[in-house]
Amino acid sequence: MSASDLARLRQGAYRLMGAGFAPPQPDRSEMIVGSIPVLADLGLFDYSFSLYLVDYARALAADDPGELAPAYMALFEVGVDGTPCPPTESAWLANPHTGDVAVILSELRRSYLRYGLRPTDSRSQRIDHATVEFDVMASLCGIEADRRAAGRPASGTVRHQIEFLGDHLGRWLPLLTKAVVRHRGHPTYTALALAAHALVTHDQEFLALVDKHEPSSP
Amino acid sequence: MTQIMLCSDHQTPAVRQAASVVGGLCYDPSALSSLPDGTQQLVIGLHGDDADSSRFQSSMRRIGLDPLGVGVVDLSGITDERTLSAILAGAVARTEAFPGATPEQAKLVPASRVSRRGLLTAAALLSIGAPSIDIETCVADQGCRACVTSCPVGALEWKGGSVSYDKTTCVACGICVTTCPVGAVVNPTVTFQAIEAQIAAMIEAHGDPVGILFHCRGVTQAPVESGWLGVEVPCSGMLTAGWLLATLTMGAVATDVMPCQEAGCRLGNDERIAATLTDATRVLEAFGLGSERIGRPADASLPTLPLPRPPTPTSGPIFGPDVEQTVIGLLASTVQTHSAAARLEATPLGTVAIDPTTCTACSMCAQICPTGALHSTSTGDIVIDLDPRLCVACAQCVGVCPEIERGAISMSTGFDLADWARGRREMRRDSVPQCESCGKPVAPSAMLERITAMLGSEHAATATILRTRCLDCRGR
Repeated sequence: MSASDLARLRQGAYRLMGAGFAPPQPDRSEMIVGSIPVLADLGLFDYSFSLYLVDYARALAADDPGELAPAYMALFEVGVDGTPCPPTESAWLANPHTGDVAVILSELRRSYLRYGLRPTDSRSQRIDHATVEFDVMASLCGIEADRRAAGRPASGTVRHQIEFLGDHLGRWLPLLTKAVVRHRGHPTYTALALAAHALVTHDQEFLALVDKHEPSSP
Repeated sequence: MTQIMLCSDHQTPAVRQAASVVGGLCYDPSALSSLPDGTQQLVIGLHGDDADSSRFQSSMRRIGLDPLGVGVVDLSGITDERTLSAILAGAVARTEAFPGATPEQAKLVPASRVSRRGLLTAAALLSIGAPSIDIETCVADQGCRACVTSCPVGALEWKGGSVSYDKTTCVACGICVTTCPVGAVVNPTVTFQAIEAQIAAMIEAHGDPVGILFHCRGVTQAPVESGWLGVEVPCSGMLTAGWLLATLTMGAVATDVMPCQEAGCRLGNDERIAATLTDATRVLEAFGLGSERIGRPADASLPTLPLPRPPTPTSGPIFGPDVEQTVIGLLASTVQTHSAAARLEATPLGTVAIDPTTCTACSMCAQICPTGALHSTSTGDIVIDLDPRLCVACAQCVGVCPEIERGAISMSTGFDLADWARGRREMRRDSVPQCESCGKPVAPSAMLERITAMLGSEHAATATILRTRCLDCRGR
């Protein structure tokens, strides 16, 4: 497998996780389930997170789409005592009384612009939502794949990925995962949270290895 | 159900009967394409170490198995029926005891030594088991740093009452697993339960007297001397005398350690390994059981009989964070003595002495003690007591003592059954004066005297306040 293919595989895995954290739709579920064989061709099973991704896709394939929407809402959107497991960074890392939410959103916006991405905040999808943050990682992997395919250095975008996981997604996703597992909601979403956690945990170690071995580019 | 799959070469008829035999499995991991329904665990037997491990791991994941939980045994050069059966039985038992691994417990390593260019071209990576710390069990919040000080590569750091772990630096040697006094560090590929299950199954399946040879995972060729059965561990440096002796109490007639290279341990743990072997020998000698059971003679011959069994065999597990204490208890029961003692070098057994003339009874030693061997109570007088059976010689009590320069506390390594028999006893008692203002305890008298002496006559007024007022009342 080429390094470009590997970046493409990781791009697909992040895209798949991003789709998983979006509100459920039948088309989206089909896309997620259907993407596993594509990722398998790219070498998915060479990596430990594959077991979790497949578990999630299997759970999703066995789901009744009618049941999934209320389960998503009950877990990620509303609850009697607030959202049980909010899939947003600021919900886990910010103190809402001290203005931290705005600080986090502003830091995220600056990061996205620095990576060459243009954030579009909306009421339905905030820029600190898991879907957006996984899509950002997917985009960075895509940039890496393109650069490697063109024979250009990719150490810069690798560093962006390390930074983004270290400062953002990798900091709060473990907290969300713990909450989802503890909440014992719909098994598909437990599988999703575990898969997302496995991917991010793997990638933090993997990217550190790449960064250690890859010659720096100016 | 555990499925055994073997490469077709060189298998004896009986082993072929017990397993699925797959032609060319060593060279074609894709042969692991399907498993019978109900298969939850897998053991594969290969020949030699030239199999492509990363492709095997990939094939295992493709059929839904975590490679960390799949037993892989090297059967090359082994033709003896009993030895083959014992190795496979051990691998099945160890596999069935695999507790499952979290994403944090998988560590990426290059499948072979690759150039840095190799990594960039997505060279194959292997997953190996890595430690994780169970924060519910960990006593770092008491100040324990046993794993931190034992880590040979500095992958663990104590900060603010918890231990942080750098997986990139970690070499997954397992030393932290056996050093942790409370069993909070877990590597899913080398748990106490799995090692005990493997050894028990091998001894039972073989039938004849066997020696257990702990060998490093870096050993390229599994040992094949007659009667010796290998147990793979991440690094021989993780072994303690308790592990070696435990195999003898389980029925093995001898035990030994094989580091990863002929020249020794590539992580530089040779002194530690030598001390472990010496300690195990000293313990056996202390019980009058002879030392020929530790190490392999040049001809790899084995003693003919196992150790005598204790009149009442242990009902619980032998391997665990307190394996040393369990084994000493079993040996004492075996030879029915209460007077054995030995000085040891690297074994987590020890005892503590407190000098009442210099100890200020501050109790910091008791607060940091991870096993509760040292314990303090402060109802009326302050009392520090010790149960030497619980001491794991971590020496953290010595490290934390503010009066160490005056020799207030000292630790010696080893065990003394007569001392153990005395049980928990008082080591230090001191009165605690009450606050003249509110009646609450101020501090141990010895500590107040020490502070007074340090302040000298120049600060007599301050000393008087310190002696007579508690912390809350001093400013009033």
